Amino acid sequence: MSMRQTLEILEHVSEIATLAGLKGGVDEQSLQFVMGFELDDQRSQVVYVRNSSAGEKMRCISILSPCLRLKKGFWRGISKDMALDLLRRNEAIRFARYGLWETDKEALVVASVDYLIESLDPEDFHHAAFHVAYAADKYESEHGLDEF
Amino acid sequence: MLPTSIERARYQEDIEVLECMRADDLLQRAMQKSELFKRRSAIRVKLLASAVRVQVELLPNVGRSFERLSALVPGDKPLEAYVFSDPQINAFLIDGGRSHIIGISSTAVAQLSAEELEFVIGHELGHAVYGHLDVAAEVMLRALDPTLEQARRIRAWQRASEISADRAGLVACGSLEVAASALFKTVCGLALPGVCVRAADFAAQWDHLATEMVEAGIRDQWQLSHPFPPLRMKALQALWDAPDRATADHATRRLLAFMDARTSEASRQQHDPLLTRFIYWGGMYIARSQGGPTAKQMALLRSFSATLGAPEGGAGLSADDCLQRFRASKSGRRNRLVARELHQIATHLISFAAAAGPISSPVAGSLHRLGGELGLNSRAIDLFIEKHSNQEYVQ
Repeated sequence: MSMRQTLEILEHVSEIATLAGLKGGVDEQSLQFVMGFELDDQRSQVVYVRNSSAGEKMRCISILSPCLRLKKGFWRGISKDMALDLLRRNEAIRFARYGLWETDKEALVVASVDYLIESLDPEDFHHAAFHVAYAADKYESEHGLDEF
Repeated sequence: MLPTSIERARYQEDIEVLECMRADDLLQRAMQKSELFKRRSAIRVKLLASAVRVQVELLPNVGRSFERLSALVPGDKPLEAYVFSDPQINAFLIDGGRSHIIGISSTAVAQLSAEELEFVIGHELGHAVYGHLDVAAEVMLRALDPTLEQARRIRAWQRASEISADRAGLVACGSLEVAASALFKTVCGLALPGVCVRAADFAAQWDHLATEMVEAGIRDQWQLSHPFPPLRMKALQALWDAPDRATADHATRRLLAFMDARTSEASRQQHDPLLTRFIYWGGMYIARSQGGPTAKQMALLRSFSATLGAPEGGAGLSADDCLQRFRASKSGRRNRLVARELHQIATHLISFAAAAGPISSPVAGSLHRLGGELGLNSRAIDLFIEKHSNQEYVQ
């Protein structure tokens, strides 16, 4: 998809977010819609929305929130126990899933969910973003962190 | 007003959308490619082999009409007409290489009067006069794998070109009643003796169809190559009744907007007919709550009231009356409003409110109330107001 089409999708995400009463903005450099959530115990969580369309005929978005940063390299990264823990969590969790986002230098454990953009309504978007933020924050707090 | 010639009857949108298509590299290349198909066309062979070529000696009625009307067509490419066997009233125009070919179905010849046949032939000749054969729209759609936007533009142009061709048909037959009768017979297949089709009666079917589309929130009609027949009839009536072509074009654009999904997306210049009543009655509620409408609000409302047939300035209606009508719009809608539609309504309502000056607390209260009717929470309305204020500041 072209950058223009991605920006159109993010602009639509911005419209849906406004309708849901969620404040946020499009970051044109990283091509993401970014918003923040205030959660219990004065904790907060940042949530990103990315264009994850498979083509113009299936326009979809991924709503995701990072929860743990892992350095890559020998004896680093995700351990077997941690990976199994994420799999078990995925079986139990509703309205989100845990996964890994990897770059050359690091891997991020993220909570995320996907939606078709055309049929996404504000209420569903609000629910989805909240559940993703909540899932990410839960994982983060269990690791004694509040980085994201 | 009946245009004085086929050339003068052309619908402006047909010209404008075609220019947009010509500016698109991909579509431009596809148009050039389709020239190749035309040169290789074997249609004339097929018709000479399996249909009857129209001559006055063989088919006097059709032949005379065809001779008279083809004299109205400028250009150096000869015209030929053929009658082919088909149980439906149908006709087409195709580029046969060295000539333009009109095909007329046997049922059209059998069931249409000479005048009605002139409407049909005139319609096809209109396609030739306006150069519609330069664009092989169906080939482009099949072979190109166009983007959604390109496909929508091609379909929008096809519908606009059909409106132009209908106008040419009207010029050719010279009578709105004849055009109505031809369209009526084409749609229902009936040719009952002694039945007189009044144009206004047939065109009135459009009002029912439009209401149905608004209430069901139907937006997938952009895929059709032809406008609905009642819409075509309404557009012809608009041309007949209008004092000039520009007025008729304006009315026709509003009609075609019902079939054009772009109205809710790319094109913000034109009112979305499926949302008009929400915006009008919501806007009127806000204006009435503010003690208005002000002159600026009135100007905004006026463009909507024509479509709705609503009283100018909501004369005699209280704010509560307007709110009731807004609610009725919501309850009359059978499918839920999607996010894009909600956003468009909310944006318009904020603009209405801001047209009377900075948005005060009582006005914000009215907006919250309307938002609540649409299922939007207070925070959402506050965000809309905040965004609008920021835009005003930037401007």
